Amino acid sequence: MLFFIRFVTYIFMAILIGFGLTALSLSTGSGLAAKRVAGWKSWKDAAHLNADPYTRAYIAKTGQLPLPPNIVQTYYALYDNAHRRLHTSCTYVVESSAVNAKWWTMAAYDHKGQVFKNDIERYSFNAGSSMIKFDGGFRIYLSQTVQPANWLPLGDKGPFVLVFRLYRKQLSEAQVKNNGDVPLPLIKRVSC
Amino acid sequence: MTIRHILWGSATVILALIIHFCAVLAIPLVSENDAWKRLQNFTKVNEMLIVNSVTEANRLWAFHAPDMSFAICRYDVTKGPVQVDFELLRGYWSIAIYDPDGKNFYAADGFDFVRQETSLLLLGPDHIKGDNDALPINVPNEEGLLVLRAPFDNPVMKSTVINMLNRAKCDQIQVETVKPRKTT
Repeated sequence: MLFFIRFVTYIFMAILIGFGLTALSLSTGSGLAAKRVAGWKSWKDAAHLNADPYTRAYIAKTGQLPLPPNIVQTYYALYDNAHRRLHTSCTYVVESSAVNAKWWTMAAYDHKGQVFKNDIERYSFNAGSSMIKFDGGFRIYLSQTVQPANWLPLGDKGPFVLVFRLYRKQLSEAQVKNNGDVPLPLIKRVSC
Repeated sequence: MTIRHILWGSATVILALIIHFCAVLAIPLVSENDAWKRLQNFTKVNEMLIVNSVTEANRLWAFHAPDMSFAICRYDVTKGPVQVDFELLRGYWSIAIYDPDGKNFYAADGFDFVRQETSLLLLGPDHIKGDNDALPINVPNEEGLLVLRAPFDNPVMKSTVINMLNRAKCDQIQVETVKPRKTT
């Protein structure tokens, strides 16, 4: 009897760990498939014909149709710069120096990958719609309440994901040598 | 901790890893949420679907770029090649083709094309290009998705974008009767 109880317990634990690991690796990005740059992650082979199983599972699970990185590089952030989970109840400022790309866009999504509905119908900022700083960079506020300048409204659904897309990013020689990594915006929590 | 505990623990970890890898491999096969299955309910074969509202795009797929309108064609080359005519207004507008598994086998943006008005000819395995001047693309599967993405800077530009997307065409053609439409 003891053997049977132990057997069932271990099987149950294995199932729990196995599926938990799967859910975790697909939501936060397995180190095998997702590249991490300064708190942001990017599914490096998302549009690759021979994408690894983790990337294929992620794409199928989320129902995306990705573009190759030479056209658009997509970065996802789930945490702020202090590695705290992004949450709609907090206010954040996202700051960047000049973006070296033909075009860029930034949007916030709920855990299902849907944009937050809001009365002013503002779902993103891009190279053409955001107020630019003197140095050519941008500062975007993420909050449920009104903020100055570039304010991206958040919904009341809990954790959220910030997505930054760079269209035809331009790389310096040093960046090419550094695996094509470019400086990405810093996400700071202002209040909660 | 006894040897027995270590053995049971090791067996649990190994089993957990097996379950994990099986789950990762199985998700693309069993997922009901992938783009192909979702879009089948909203698209008609060899017809363009224009998606120009965030609400509509939310239903179609996750993490869609909200400052973008789309034209989607669910093509089927079983009965003949499919010709796609479109315009890329800006360099960062793009066109991409996917097989039913969501694998991207063709992608280009406005920087890749010399002309703003462009035509692609989607050819099945038995099709020949004929005298059509459209850019030929051999598709690996008879069915698939073609997505034209048109980002806009602000809502004022959106109406121009939608007008251009509305002019995009996705038509089945007969190779024997095809006449040149546009050069690329």
